[in-house]
Amino acid sequence: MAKRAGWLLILLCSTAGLARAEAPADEGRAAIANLDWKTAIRYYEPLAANARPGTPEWTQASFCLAVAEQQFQPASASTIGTAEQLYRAIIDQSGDKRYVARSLMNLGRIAELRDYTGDKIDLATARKFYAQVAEKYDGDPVASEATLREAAAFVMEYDAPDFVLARQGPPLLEKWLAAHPNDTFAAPMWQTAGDAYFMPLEDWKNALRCYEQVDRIGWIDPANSGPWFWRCARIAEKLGETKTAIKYYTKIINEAPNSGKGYASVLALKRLGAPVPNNPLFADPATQPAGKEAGHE
Amino acid sequence: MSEPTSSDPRDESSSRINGNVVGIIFLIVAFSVSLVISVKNTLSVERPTKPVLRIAHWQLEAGYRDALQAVIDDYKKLHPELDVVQMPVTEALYKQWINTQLISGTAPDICEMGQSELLSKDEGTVRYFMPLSGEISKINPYNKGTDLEKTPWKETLLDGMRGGFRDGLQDYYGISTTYTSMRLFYNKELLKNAVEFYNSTGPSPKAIDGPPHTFGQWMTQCQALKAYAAAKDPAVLPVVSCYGVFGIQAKFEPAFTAALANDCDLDLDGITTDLEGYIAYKRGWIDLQTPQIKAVYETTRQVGDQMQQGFSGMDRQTAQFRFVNGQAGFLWTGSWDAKGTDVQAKSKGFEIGIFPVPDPGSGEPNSQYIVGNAGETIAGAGSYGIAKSSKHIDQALDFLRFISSRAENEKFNAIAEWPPLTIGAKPSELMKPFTPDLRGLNSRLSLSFGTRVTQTANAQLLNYYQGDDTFESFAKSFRDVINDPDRGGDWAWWFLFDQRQSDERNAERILAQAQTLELLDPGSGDQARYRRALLQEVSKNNGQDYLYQFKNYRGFNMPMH
Amino acid sequence: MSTATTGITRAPAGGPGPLHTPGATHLATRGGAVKGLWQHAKLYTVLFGLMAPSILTLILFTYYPQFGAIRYSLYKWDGTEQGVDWVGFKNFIEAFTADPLFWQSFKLVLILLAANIVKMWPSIIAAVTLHRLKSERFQYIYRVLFVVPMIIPGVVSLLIWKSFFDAGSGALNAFLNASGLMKALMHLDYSMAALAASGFGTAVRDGFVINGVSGLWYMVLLGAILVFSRVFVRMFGMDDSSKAWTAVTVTGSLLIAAAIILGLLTCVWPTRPLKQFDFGTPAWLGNQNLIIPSVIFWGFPWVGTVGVLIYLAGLQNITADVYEAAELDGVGSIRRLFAIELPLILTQVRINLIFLTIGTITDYGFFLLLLGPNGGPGGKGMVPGLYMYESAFIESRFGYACALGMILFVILLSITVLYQKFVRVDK
Repeated sequence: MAKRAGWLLILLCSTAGLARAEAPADEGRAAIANLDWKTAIRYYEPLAANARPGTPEWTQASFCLAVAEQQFQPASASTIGTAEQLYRAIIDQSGDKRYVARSLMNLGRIAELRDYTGDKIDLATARKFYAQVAEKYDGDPVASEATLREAAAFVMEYDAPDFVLARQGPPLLEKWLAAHPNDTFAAPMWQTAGDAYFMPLEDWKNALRCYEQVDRIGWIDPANSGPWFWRCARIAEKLGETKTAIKYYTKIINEAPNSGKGYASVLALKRLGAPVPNNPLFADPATQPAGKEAGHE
Repeated sequence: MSEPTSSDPRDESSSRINGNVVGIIFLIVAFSVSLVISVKNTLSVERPTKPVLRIAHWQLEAGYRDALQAVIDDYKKLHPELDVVQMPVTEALYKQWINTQLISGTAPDICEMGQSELLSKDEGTVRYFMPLSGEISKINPYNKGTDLEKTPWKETLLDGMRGGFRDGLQDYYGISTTYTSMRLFYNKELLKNAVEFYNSTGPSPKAIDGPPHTFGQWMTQCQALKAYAAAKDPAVLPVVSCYGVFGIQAKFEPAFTAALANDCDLDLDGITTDLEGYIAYKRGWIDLQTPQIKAVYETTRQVGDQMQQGFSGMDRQTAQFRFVNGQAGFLWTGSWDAKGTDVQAKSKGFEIGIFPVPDPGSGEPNSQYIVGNAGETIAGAGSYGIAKSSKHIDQALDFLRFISSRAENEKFNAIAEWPPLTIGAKPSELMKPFTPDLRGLNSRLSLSFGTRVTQTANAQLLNYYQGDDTFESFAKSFRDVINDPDRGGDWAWWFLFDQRQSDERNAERILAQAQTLELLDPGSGDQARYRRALLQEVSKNNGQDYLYQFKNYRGFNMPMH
Repeated sequence: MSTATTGITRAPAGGPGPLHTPGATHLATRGGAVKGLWQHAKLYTVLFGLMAPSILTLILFTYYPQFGAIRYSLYKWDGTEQGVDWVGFKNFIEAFTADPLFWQSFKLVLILLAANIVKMWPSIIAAVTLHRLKSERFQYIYRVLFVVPMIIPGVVSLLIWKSFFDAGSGALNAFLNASGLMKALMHLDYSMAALAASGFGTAVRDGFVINGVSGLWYMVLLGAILVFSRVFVRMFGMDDSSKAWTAVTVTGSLLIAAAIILGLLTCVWPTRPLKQFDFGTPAWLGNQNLIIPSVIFWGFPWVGTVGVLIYLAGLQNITADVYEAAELDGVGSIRRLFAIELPLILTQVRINLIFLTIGTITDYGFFLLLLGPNGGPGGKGMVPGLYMYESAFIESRFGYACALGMILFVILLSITVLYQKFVRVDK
């Protein structure tokens, strides 16, 4: 009887202990959901300290603690340093590749971003971490994200006048896309490549080519595609690709009439001698003063 | 305090009422009454007999509360198991009140978005409000029986729900119920009398009675009002404005500068930012003497000449007061003032008309620089979001679907006399003139960069518009301000770069949150939204493009302050 | 004349103070000492206990938020919880080295400070007049009439004044037109402009310049040195009663007065007439040259309720025998004001001076409501408080605004210390 009571007591305590252990993790998760990093640190610090290194609980708690330290405001060398240490520990000791990958990524983010006044930006180190993730975790969406980040970190060098580093960004993306044509990150990758070709590389032909790929796949923010259509149309006009220009002016009228460029697109189509789609919003074009049209150089 | 003396003190106490006692009794009674009412109200909220959906807003304009109540009453008929109450709060207090409510977790279920940082900044929005992207692609059942019955909820609004979209969060957090635009109101009777009087003196050109089609016609009408004022009623002013003259200036900018703006649009996104304007200025492409830019100022100056001397000292209330009391021919204000102005005008015995600011017509001064009519866009306003702390999220969502359905949106805006936002909803007669005309140009070039430069330049510009300064003097002041190494355009550029880095860092926090939650609970996050936010962040390049552009266009590294 | 009923009762000299506990003996015996200490402790415990709620409330709601301002002045802060970045003293360095607009905003404050010191006098005179009323009934009635306007919120009073200043329908212009003063102002406008544009005006303004600074400032400086030299002499305990020192002070004062008069005649008015008064509708808040006079004129006749009541309280402390003695000596009413009443209410004057200075330097709501966030046309109404508001709420640079606030705090503290030192209260 006493033995049974003892086991029951142990069971009850374990359950209570488990419940207590779960509660802080839930609270910590809720704090992260609320962007309340200070509270998240308060909950995850003891969880990370008390868990055995390498275990899933430790990985989870350490990672969440690292993220909270990294994102805590005001950031300082101390909080960022703590985050770095935790990420490195996860990379060294955790068996969960998702957390390891994300830890590598976040080390790259720490190198890339200005976390606090006086923080140095180290794009080369950032690229190293992203490249590691892209290589080791090919097939996982995090690898695509890493590639995108790596390419962006090249472009961010803005090493004028020759842009030796910046020029490496778009080909990196195109190489990845050639190997992964159906990547879920394809649209943002093509768009980033197009942006880089556009500025600072001023390679408009390639920029348009990349944007056309985005259009084929689908713009990532269809509700805000008006400015992109306009850019494509204007680049096409400058390059003399009238058919492509007409296509995008027409798209604006049909798909983004409220973007602010709707009527300018109507005028552009008339200027190019192309048929104007029938959109009731522009049904009766206002009379234009002779000799002046917008959008014409 | 000393009291008058008397030979027998007993006479005083019996014949005089002690004022202090009266005061104390009054105080006790008033306090008790307010206590009882407060307790009663609190109890009714905290112990309702059925679930209560609370809606908070700051719109105290005439008609709005009645309009919202009408929608609420219709909704309650459909859902008798629910009670819905609106909580109007004065605009001046709304910010503090809603901040406290949100932080303490007692916020109303539905809150009008705006006024406070918690509502307008991304960090506050993501913490306290429900993202709606998962819902807005579904059909709105309250549009059944109309041509919108198969249309996703998002596409049923004229602005595609952009009014409730947060760029930084790449998600929708609010549902707009209306849109706003600015127009010129006119006193039909006063204008008629003024035009008749003026035309009888044999001028050329004659003034027209009714909405002018060109700027020149409008100015002639103002001349008519001036002549009328000089002869009959010195208190009459041609034009008064609730919001100064800069809103009118903004109306002229696309008409004159759209082509220039396109030339200065370096990133070809269709929007010429202040930075692009500054770059063009620094490269010598444009300055204040550029004819198209100068034309904007000169045209606006003509409007300033029609307003009261020193019009910058006239506030919104005084402008409305002058207009509704028949002391002004034209009033510049927004759609939110239409109902109140109309009601007051009718009570004073005159009708109002409404029309948009006209551009110069052919042959009129500066018309040679006009490149096209100024267009407008539809931007949703009066957005309502759902507080995360709400205990009735489904009901709140349902109510927002209800109020944004065609029938109810039309009814709501008909009573409030505001423009309806749902596609196909008919505006009231009073709101028809506010329908944005999309048949026009939107690119504009505004030669000012940085808050400091804009504030200082506008202070000098007011002198010019009020006739107290010449254009050359304003131009010199402007050049001094924008070229100031401490607070001019270069400093504003650095500030923009610094701001961009901070914004990127803040965006990183939101991405980090999403990544972490996805790791903790795989599949729980909206991956499409995540990719949009990621692209948004990547495309901004941590502001490094600002450094590059500075060196490229200014010829030296950005001085780090 | 009413006897003093306010103020702390002062114990006769040489006797025990008001905190002396009856029955307590001061260390007369060992047991008595313990008993005395215990009773003292009980008394102080009760006293501090009663004060504790007020002190705690003060610390929590007044001092604690101020420490928040000190803290955030060392950060770059955009007003949100997330937008905080440590920058150390960068904000202060920027304020001192790269923000001339902030320091230029003090120009108006100095003018207003000088004007407000003059505007203190109507309250003092009103309080003295009230105090000298023979009828206690009328004194009571007038006191109530002075208090009644206090129930009107300041913002309402501001908005009423804003409507007074309206060019077309304002009461001020209506009065000026009806009384014929508008014509006088018009003549003044043309005369002053002519004087400023004349050879004499040009000579004083542009000819009398030393090292890029107007000679008038040197006159003021020299005058101030002469006046304050006597103060320094007194501080060092030297004798300053000779006629020579009086002559130094008078000369210094005359130099300052001359500089002010010449400045007013030749530097204040533009060289072209404003032409604001020609049609009887000057834009008091809409013309950059009229903003400062409007702001100075605001509140006319400058008899503030709080000021009057504070001075009145001080005047009521003056005992009747002082007035009786003055009457016996044949002191007239003007001399009574300067020889008796003013010196004996100098504590209240000093308090009001401190509040006035703090209010003048920190006020921004007044300018925001009347002129807008950019200080009106030409930015003439820009004051440090408004500049702080602009930095915080328009530029979203809350950290920088906190740093500006700290600088203002130090300036105010320094001025307050100067007042405490130099505005002597001879008891």
